[in-house]
Amino acid sequence: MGPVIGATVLESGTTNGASTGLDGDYVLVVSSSEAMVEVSCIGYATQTFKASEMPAVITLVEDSMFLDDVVVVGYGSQKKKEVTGSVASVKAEDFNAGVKASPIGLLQGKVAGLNIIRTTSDPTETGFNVQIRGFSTLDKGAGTSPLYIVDGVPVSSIDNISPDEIASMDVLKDGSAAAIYGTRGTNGVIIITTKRGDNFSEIANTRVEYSGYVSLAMRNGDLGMATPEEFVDLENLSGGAVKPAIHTDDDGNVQLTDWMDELTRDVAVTHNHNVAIVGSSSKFNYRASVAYKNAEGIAKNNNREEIIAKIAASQKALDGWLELQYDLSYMHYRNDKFCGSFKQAAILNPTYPVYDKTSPNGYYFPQGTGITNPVEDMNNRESYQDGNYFRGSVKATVNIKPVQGLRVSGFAAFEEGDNRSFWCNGIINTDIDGSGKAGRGNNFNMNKLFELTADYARTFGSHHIAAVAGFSYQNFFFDESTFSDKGFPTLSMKYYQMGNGDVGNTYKTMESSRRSNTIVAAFGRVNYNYKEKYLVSASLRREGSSRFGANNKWGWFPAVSFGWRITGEDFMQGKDWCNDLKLRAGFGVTGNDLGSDLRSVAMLSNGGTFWYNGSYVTTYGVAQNVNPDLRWEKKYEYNLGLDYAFIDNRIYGSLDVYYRQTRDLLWDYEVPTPPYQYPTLLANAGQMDSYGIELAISGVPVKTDNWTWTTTPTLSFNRNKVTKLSDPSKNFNYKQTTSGWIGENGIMNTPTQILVEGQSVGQFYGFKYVGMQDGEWFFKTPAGGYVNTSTANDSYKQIIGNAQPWFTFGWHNSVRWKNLDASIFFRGVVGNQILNVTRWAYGPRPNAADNVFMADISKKNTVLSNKAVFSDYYLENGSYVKLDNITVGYTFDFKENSLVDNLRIYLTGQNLLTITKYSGQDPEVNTTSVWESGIDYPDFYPTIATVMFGLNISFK
Amino acid sequence: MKRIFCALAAIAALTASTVSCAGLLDEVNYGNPTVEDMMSEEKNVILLVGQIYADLKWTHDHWGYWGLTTITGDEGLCVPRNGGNDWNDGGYWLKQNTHTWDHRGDAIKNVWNTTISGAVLCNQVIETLTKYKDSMSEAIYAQYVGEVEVLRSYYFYLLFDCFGRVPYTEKFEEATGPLLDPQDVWSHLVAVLERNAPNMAVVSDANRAANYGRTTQGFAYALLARLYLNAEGFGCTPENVFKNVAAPEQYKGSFYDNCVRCCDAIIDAGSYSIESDYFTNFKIANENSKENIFVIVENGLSIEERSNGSMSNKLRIVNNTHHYGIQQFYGMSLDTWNGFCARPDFLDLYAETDVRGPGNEQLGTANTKQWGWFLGPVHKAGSTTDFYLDEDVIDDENPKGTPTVIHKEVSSLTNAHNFDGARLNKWEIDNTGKYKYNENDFVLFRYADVLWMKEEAIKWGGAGTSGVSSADFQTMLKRSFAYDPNPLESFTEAYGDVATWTKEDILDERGREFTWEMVRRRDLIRHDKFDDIQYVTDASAKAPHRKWFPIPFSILEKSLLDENGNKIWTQTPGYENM
Repeated sequence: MGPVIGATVLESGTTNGASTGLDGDYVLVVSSSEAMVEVSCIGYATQTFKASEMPAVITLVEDSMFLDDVVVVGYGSQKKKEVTGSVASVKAEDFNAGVKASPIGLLQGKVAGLNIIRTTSDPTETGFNVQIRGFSTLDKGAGTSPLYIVDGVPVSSIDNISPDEIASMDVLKDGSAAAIYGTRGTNGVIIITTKRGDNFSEIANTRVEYSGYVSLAMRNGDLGMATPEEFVDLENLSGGAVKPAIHTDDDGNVQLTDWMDELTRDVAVTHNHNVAIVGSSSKFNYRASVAYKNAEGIAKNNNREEIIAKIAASQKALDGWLELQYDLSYMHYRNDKFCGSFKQAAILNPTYPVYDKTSPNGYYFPQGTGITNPVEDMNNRESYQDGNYFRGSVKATVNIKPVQGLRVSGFAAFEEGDNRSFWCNGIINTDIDGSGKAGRGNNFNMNKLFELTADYARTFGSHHIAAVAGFSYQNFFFDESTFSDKGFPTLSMKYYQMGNGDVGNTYKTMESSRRSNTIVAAFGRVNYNYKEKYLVSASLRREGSSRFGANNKWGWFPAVSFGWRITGEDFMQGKDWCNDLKLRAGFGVTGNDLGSDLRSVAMLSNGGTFWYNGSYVTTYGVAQNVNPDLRWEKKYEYNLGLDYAFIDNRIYGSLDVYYRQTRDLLWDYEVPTPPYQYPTLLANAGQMDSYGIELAISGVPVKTDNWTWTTTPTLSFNRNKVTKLSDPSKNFNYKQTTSGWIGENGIMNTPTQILVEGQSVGQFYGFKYVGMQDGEWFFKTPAGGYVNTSTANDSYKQIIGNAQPWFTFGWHNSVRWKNLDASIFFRGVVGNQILNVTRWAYGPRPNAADNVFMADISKKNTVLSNKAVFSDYYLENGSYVKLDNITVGYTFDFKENSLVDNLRIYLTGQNLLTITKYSGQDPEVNTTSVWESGIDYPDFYPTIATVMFGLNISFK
Repeated sequence: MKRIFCALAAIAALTASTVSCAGLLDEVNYGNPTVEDMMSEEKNVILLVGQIYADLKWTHDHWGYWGLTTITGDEGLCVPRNGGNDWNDGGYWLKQNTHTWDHRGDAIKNVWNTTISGAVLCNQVIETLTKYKDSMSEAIYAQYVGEVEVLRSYYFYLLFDCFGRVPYTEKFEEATGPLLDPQDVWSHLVAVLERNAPNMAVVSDANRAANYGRTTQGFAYALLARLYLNAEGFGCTPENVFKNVAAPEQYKGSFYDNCVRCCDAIIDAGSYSIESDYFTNFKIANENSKENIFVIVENGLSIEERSNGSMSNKLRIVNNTHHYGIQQFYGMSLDTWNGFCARPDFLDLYAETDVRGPGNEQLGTANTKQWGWFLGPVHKAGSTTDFYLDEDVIDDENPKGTPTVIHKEVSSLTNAHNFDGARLNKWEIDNTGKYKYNENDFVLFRYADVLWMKEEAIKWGGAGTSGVSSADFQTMLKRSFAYDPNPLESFTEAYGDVATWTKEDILDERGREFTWEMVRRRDLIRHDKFDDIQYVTDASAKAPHRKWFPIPFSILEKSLLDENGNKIWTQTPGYENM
């Protein structure tokens, strides 16, 4: 081991410090020979010496456990060894490799209990659903998204951050950790800390970093419909059961069209560049960066372009009294939307031509209800959005020097988003009403935050105390306007000249609205530990939200947690196999805010037009049943955890067990009509319980001078149960409701799932399939008998599957050999069912006018779809293992005096392989929605596999 | 250390107290007006009252009252087509066609929710009007309350017509009791209508436009006439009505006498007259019809389109019924769905040259005259010789699809051809592409209905003088054979002398005249023929309880409970309870 460069040498309790130089050297003038000096460096254990007893050579000891790592918790940070809640911290070097439309993709599969589902590969969409510890809300009125905090600011979107600029993401999973965020804590909190300048240093230094990649994406997987060649051969493939409607042109020729090919690029290219300058001196540090990305969708005409500029600066002033921190970030983006439909492409008859010279616009005009020509839609419709985001904050911290450890901070943050949308249609044969229409819209959102906090940290002998108290005000504002018209003299006017539409104004629409909401809170937390052995943390938040009913504006959110570091006990001394062992227990109450404004008040809104004295007037009416008692959902959560490290830190990780109960569930309760005007009322009544186990293990099976192999499996189990839906005292008298409604190609709004008291979310409910005979389906009755389709009625329905996985896992491996590194990451779910709606709605039928789902084509003794009722025939095993990403990288060595500090090149393959029995396109379906969990709809965006080449370099 | 804690606690307390006294948490509503705003000026009161008509628009949807009642009578049928892809809807339509429906169908739930929504809204508006009585004149107040009460009766009538037992209420936010028995609902409806009818606006040419699409005296009496004529069909007897409600002073006992009285009240007022062209009432610009007593005013543009599940508040009957090729032939804005058609037997009611019937079955889209039903070829756009080729049936003879010729037969109730069944054609098709939905105002009451109700009531024993010889009546007969040289003679030749008709003859004529106008099911029930129609064969389908639809499952499910924990709303006997 050579000299350690950039280690911090600091006089304890002061800001007097230095960094080690190229040879590991340092100069520090201390106040007295009795002063204590701390030597610290990321990745090494911190050591403290008396100045007079400083050794000439200090050997830093590698700290693979990162016990002194800083974990960001709400309104502060803690050392990992002091954390008593369930908090997972992921640093930049552990993020997922590959192209991400949203930074949340960096965490997919990394944190046990954090369930992230990729919903689309469309680069203009966020593309992920995020859920922490399963369902804790019924998703009616209440929010479902975790609370995102970016550099201290609660934000509504994190898609305006460049993944290259993120230093760490911390996930507050349990109630005791999240309760400090009050009404927004139930869905968990994800705290994003972006990169800043280096630590203050006596030796001024600057650095330039570049990171960039180019990636190529190709389609990977399909919906399972017949290829054009199979379609014309259907009669043969089905043994005569299915007769395809083969379209011929005027000369009697059959033309084969692969509609998916018509809509997609062969290869979609994404490139991304990020340049940053980073520097520090004794009183000032900064990081400034510009990131650019252009991502092509696999769909033609589909593209995302973004540029993000960001500056973070910190300044010390007034002789250590004041520290100022500035953060400024700006983004401009443009989304070009895909206007065709992949569902149409999948189900459209493959013998239809794309073009037809005789139609008004040259595109073929397919027949049938709701059927369109997707190539026509893609090319003759245009839609794009662009916009800007700005985020700026300043934090002033005053060190009250006379009181050691006391600081008072003021924090002000401002966020603003401007989004514009533009769309126009050319001539569309199947949509005469929409032809020639154009429109544009603007929306503007603003987020203002003011916080005042005081924090105090001090050690008295073996007692260590840290406390924080504060006040927070946050206001969100939203304003939007849209307008559209048709009847423009020429199509080339598009959305440019909106005033030139139809003279009679009959098609003109014009709308605007504005809304806002406010949250105010006072909060406090005290952490105490004795010899870092017995730890306790208690917090309380008092919060009010404008969204709630007049009778229920304010709430209390308490939390308490304890920790016991068993390794600190005398009886563990000398037990070398055990490096760390900490038991944690916590309890916390969190809330779940309403997802929308103005739900608790009687408000008049547009009640439709009314013909009055020969012209239309707009009427006003109350659009919802009013509930002045509306309040937040409350979640009570208990968490028991264990952090461990054994055998020279070769095995380490954590284990968490939790139980959570959500009370006062918000839901659109069905209410009797009359007395109510509308059939539903947003109200609080139900209750939901869930429990789970989360296990994270890291192992280092091989560790030699040249070789390191680290393997990290994570595993999480979650079970939930709706314990109460009804509340007789409020007249909500029913015990179950249906969900998973399907309406598709002849299937009329059919419920496929049931929500029952005492059962979990996502229960598939329908007939149990036993076989087919003579064109009839046969189903098993709950009593054990058999019925055919014509005699089957609702009483034979039963629970036939569940959309929730038995467990979810991730498995990361990294291997380093000298300068060569490789990593491979698998993730997956086990034990859930998926409803394949395409199989059900587009299965074989006698006359195939549309394309056909092929998996059932040879079941020739029956006509599957004539009486295609819902049964577990259409439920499939949803377990899968995905090779999420695989990376090989090489880091070059440079001489110490070289201008190049660091250079790494790498090659990443993403989404290359999925092992599953599922017959649809992708078994990674949405399991985070109460209402459509585990349902794979025919609407889709093609999944892609990506290969990327990247380069990281830094100069000094 | 203690001092520091005290300081921290003080800061926390201070911040908490500043928060609690500020009005920070009041919601800002940004221009959404309050009731006070609207009611403070008399001219704005109508903007609040006018909303009561909005819920009527769900009525004419095929997932609403219109679809439910049309498809279950002998006039309508809906079969899966296009290889079972279209109009399958999980077998829903089949159950309606064959009268084997259960209590889980979507339409019954929709009818309940949308009509109740309208009725409760009326109660709410009456409460608001009363609260702000001082901000308007006495006369305006009385006029608005009357208008709202009469429309509330119509909402409850729609619900009553379907279910019989309904939670009738005249107060807003009053906890409801058990479902009332049909005769009690009937009594309430009649009492409120009789109380209001004399005071309602009487339509004249001078005020016709101002009252267009609003409840009037003609509307109130027409609804009363219908309630009286059908009283027995609703299960009422002169003995069992008005037990729990005070009988209105006009009521004198005989349902049919009262029906004639109400019809005469409309006839004598002289507000309405029969249009010489049958189709005037169904044109895109039908607002000039003097025959239409009450319409839902439609706006066919796509703006303000609302949906409620599968339902739309836009009129879509033309798009519903016609074949796919019709959109292209006429250049319609919205696609046509090849949906509802006639039960084949129903077409037998029409004589060959009756303009309300299918007319010349050979011409189809080549027809230059409008006929009430569409049969015959569907041509390609811009041609009257080239047929639209339908790929529903491809055979060696027609490799590119079969030439589409709509015929009245229906090949299968589970998998019909695209060209099966006659399509209603009396509503004018917009061939300009201007309107996405049907701009034709949807007729709920026509003067012709009043004339026929009176004649039929007399046949049932009501006291009154037949109006057959009146000019309006003769116009009505004549226009049915308007394309013939001597229409009156053609009428008599086809259907016999009206003067000698039985009430069954009137039933047939009402079928021809008012097809798909939401009266047929009730007419059939009145004549006890509801279960005696094509495709209704099953014994359980013919059971008497099917005169009512079952109380929807979802409505029973959320019923209030009585003190013993039992649901106060119960299923109609004969149907499955839960």
